[in-house]
Amino acid sequence: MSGTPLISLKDVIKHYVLGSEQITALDGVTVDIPAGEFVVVLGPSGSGKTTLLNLLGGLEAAAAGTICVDGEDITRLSEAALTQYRRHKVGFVFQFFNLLPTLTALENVDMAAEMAGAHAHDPRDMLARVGLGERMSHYPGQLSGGQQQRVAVARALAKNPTLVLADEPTGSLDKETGIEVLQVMRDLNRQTGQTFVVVTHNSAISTIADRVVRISGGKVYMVVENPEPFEPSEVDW
Amino acid sequence: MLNSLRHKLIGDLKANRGAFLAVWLTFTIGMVFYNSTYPAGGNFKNLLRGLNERTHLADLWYDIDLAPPAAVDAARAAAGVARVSGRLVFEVGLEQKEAETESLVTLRVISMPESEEDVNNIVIQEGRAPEDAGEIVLMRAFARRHDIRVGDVLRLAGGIAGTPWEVEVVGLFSSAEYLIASRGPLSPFPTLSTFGVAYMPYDALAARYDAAGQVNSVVLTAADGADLTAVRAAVTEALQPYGIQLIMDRLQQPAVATLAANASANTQIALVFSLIFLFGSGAVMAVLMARQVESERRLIGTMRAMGSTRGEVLGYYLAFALIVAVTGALVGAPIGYLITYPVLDFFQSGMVGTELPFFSNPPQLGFMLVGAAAGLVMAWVAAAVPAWRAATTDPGLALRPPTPSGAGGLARARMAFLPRTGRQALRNLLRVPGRTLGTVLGATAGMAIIVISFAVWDLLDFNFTHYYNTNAYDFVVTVAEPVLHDVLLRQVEGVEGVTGVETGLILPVTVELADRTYTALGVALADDREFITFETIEGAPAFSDKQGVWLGNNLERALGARVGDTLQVTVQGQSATVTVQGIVKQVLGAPMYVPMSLLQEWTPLGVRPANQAYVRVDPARRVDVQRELSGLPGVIGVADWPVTTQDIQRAADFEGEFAYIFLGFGMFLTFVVMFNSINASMRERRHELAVMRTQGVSMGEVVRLVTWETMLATGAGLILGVLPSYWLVQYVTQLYDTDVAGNVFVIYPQTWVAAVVILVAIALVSQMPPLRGVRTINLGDVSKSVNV
Repeated sequence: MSGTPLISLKDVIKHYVLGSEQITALDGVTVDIPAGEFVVVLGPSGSGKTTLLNLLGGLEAAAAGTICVDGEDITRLSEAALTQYRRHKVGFVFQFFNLLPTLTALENVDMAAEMAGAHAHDPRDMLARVGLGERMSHYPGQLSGGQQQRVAVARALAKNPTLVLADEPTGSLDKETGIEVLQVMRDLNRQTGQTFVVVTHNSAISTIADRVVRISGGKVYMVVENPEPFEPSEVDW
Repeated sequence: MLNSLRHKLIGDLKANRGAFLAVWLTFTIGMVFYNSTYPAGGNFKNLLRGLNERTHLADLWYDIDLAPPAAVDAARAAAGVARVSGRLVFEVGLEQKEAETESLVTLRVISMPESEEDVNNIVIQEGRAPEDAGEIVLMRAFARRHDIRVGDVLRLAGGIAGTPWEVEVVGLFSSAEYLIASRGPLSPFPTLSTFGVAYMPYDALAARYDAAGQVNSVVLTAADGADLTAVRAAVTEALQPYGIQLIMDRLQQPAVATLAANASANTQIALVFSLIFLFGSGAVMAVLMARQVESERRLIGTMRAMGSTRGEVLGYYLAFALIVAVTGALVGAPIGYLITYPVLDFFQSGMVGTELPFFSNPPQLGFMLVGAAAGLVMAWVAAAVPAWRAATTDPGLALRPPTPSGAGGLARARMAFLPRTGRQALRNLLRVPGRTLGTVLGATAGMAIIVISFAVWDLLDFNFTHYYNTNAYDFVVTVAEPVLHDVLLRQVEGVEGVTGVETGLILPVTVELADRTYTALGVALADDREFITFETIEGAPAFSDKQGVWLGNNLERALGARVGDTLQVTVQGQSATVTVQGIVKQVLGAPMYVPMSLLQEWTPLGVRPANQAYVRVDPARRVDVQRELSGLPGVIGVADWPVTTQDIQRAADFEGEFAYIFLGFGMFLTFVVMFNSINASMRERRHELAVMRTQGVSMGEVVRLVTWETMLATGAGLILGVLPSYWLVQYVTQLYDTDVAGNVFVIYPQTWVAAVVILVAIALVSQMPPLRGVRTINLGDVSKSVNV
């Protein structure tokens, strides 16, 4: 393992109660993720990938186990502390972009940067780095899917977070656009040293990761280090 | 509609039963209110109209000197006259059972109509008509107030002999002429504590006043289609030889005019509020439907992408509106009709003081149908406009995030000077104007409703308080014929316990301005009087100039007079030209005030006549003083001013209670409008707020953001509501105006403050439940779907 783990999950369990049925989404997950890596969590639909990401992001609470991020067990945090954790340490990139429709691209990014405070990146600069310097004043409805996802990436990174969590970032995009978005993320990972955790069911994407966490049926069954990851442009799916 | 859409409709109704119930309840309550208040007012007016017709209510009243039957014949011969009746009218004192605690009461005794065909007939509601000399029938509301029953014996004081005589109450009546106990043009509001009306056989009354074969009151109705002005001119000419004292038509006859105006004003206000409720519920429907369509934009895009036609999409939302409108009308109309019964009862007890002799409360089917049709149209329009817009959007665009429609100009401004939440709130408001409009209009409508309701109280308080305060004395003593001021002053001052006296002269005067002629009461008062201190509309003291007359605001309105106008005034056959020096506040009556010094210029040898004395007394000797004043020579009335004001206030309070009922309903409607629009807005933004929460926005910041938005939209609504509120209060003010009563327009500053405080409170309370809903959003859903 290279470096100190930024994230350390130990015996994490998560249940959902749907009607009268209890579904175990995560069943004793234990995994470490070092700082600065580009990690892909790979698994089929319903394997617990998104749940794992939500727990890491403090969007949901685990039923059992500990989740340490940057030395802090977030399962013990209060609601207010979790809000601060999401605000300062985590940047999200969602499959469905989830931009605020009444704000322009710049305003969406600006909002995140403003919340993060002094250590945030310049929103204009972030949009320029994802190739949207010319579309800053457009509303999400006026952008393509790929452009929206790039705004979402800029929004996540503008906060200068410790951890960037991306849930199927290419799931709503065509191949070319998906590669563009992945390239942006990979480049930023290298430039900023921030840790990226990308969840996907697409095994081709795992080839660009420093580390691949394979998950199925709510259990992590394999963690593979990838000493020579491909560039996104080299990936084909 | 496609089966699948029908299933979706049923599923949506089940899934969103809270939202559906909110729309349905708002609409149904609107229908209930619409179908209860105005129809009740309409039926009340119909009851009055029916009573007028059945008792042949006069079109014109003539008070004349005692005259032979030839006077009635002369009136009957005038062109355009349908029915004429001559009668005797006198006022006597009624001795109270508990004189120590009650004030002296004046009873107007009128000769009994001879047949049901007579003008100003009466309806016996309890007991029977008087037949013998010692029998009377008494006004029912008056009897109730004084706890007098059929079979009671009353002692009356008055008549030629001046000795008290006893009469038995054999019946209680109601009449169109005296449904309320208005004593005269200067006191049109009912004063049941001190004034009532009785009827007794003509011969008995004539014998008491040595007036056998004579009449002093001629009342008549005009033929159908006759020009009342022409009839009045012809009858006036015919009765001129018999000493006309006072002429009144229905607009001037105080009891008839006051009741008609109150009934009309309350019905009009009920109509205004009914329409506000109907359109308010329509507006809520529009807001909610627009928001529902907006929140289902992606779904509509999907339906269209799957091949649904625009008509099918539209039909789905129209069906939703149809269910709301039809079931709302079916439930609201019958409930509304049932509520007309207590409302009618409220009108009767509040405005008349007793039940009307005839009762009928038919459902106003036409009004119901119009309301239901209007409701359906509003519901359809509310649903169709946003649904059609969404259905005509290209499916590809509908599947994208909505692009703000208000995205130019100010909406694009950076507004860096504002804090983040304020900036974002303003952007949200400006960039989604449709959503903002619901809250803004809710606040505007709420402002209007609340300001009107409070302003009715302001009007009553301001005008009546001023009226009471301008008359600072204990009793008004009236003598039958004008006497010299010094004589009346000495008489009254001689009564032990009297601490101050001022005199005045009140006479009927004919006032002409251009082509308008009006019979008013001329009131001459001392230039330096202290007991009556009226002031001008502008708030300055009256009588600052002694070279002209001062008109009450009702006479000003009736005549259309302005300061500086020249009037031709005729009193007891003598005419003079005078200038209007000012308009004074005078909520009741239509007087023309004349400085005594000016009057003395017109009287022979400059004498100072008087027929009224305004008296202040030692409170410890109040009852004794009143008795002694009643016994002075020539005194025909001693009105207890504080008791009179209590009666007037009782009548005024009814209007206030009426306003408070509307205030209660209005606040409820405002709450429903704002709650629904804020709730719909929050439901639509649930996902957006959840995304913000995933980005680290705290719940406190969400609350601040929503509160900023709510307050800004409410503030805009309040600002927009100022002028409509002002205009509506002006409209409502003039609804109460008659020739004998009228309010000076006023809205107290605290009314505006109260409206703002109430609306802000309603807005803040309205946003609480949806904000609680945001707190319970599962943030994990944000990453799993496009909606949470």
